[in-house]
Amino acid sequence: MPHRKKRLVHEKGHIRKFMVVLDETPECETAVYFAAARARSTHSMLTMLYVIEPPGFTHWLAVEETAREEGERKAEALFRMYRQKLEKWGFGDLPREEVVRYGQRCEQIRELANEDPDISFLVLGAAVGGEGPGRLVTNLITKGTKDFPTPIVIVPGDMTFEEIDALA
Amino acid sequence: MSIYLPIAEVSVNIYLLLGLGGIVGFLSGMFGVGGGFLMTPLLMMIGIPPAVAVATEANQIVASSVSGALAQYRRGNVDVKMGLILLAGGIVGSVIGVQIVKILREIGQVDLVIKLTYVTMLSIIGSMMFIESVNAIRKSRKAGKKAGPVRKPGSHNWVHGLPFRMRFPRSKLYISIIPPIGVGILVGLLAAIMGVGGGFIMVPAMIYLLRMPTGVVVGTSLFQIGFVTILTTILNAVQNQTVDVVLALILMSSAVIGAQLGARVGSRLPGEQLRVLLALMVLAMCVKLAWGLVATPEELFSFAGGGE
Repeated sequence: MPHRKKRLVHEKGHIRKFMVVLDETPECETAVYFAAARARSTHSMLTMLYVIEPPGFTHWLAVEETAREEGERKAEALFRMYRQKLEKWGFGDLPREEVVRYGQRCEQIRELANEDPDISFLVLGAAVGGEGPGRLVTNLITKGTKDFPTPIVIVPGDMTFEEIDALA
Repeated sequence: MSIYLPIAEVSVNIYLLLGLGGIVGFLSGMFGVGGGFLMTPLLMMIGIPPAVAVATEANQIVASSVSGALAQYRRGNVDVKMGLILLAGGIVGSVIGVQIVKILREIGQVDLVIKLTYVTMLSIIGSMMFIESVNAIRKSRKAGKKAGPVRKPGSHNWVHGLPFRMRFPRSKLYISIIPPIGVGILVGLLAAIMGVGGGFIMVPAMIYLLRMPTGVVVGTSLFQIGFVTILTTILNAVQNQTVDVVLALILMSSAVIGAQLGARVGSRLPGEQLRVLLALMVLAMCVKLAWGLVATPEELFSFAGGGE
């Protein structure tokens, strides 16, 4: 029996959240746009997650610290970039939150979705042009969606903003 | 059950070897370290001639570093251009190192020199790891938040003033190729003389000296280590006849299993405390090796067989 934590989006004081995972891929932008558009039309919140992945294989703690600091700076830069983009796209007043986690990306995504009963969708962008839908989608799906607490929405990376606006 | 190792020219209990491979594999999987600097001294302690221990261990590292490098390469975490420059240095260092081993063998001092390098290296690494992890534990007890030195992204050091600059797009660097070649040579020397991959030196050097982004450091160092240890193995086998394939195979087979188990356990345990343990183990081995060098042996005369 899967034991999913009960979602509380309809309870008082709760709000539905669309979660996106930030990275530097072009499909991430599509996913953010879709999640934001969808969040606006359903009066929901946008949750942006960035996961700092630890480097494997090091002898020194200092190296891990440095990697973590670097990750934090990168997270900061990505959040800043997407804040500006959201502003530019006209989602400036959309309620949103920014979350930074440390660990394996897929595990952290799953964990955050488990912990926060307001998260009701995970939105991912699928890569186009290469082989397969990109590392994030591949890893998340191939590890199995058993026990995953929410539906997962996959947005084709080549969808234009107009197309998204028309259906979100 | 004893097995005769044809190159090492000793008979060793096969279960002891399997156990050693498994334990070191387990530790390297758990801590995420290469394991060369643990395995080689252990091999020396059970009576494998140091030159053979070193060359065979380099052979074993080929397996782990190549598989690691491939995994990193698939994720796009290898700066191939920087890797090739490091490799160029590594080839030079490895060739010189094997020559040094050859000369030392000819004058009959190779075992002593290898042991001395190990005592020096293990004492430095062990104490640095010990201090680092104890500090980390104390810090996390006190404040709960780290306050380590912050590396500023754009800050320059002397490395940036050297000539022969080259662009490394993957690492977002424009630096002289002299420091990476120097780092490569040092690591190549270590591989040939000590039978270690050298990640414990190369990784910090790449981060703090070359200022590479941490995301590509591990993959790029494994890329270099893979090729350098292949070359070292071949050179040592041809020039010094010190690679014991039987020994390497036995160690590899159990180390692979150990590493898998270790990685699983390691992800669940607190890193700092474990690192203190690892540091203490390294220091203990260092003391044991050092004691072996200065203590009066029970048998005053030893038979230096084989070789020529």
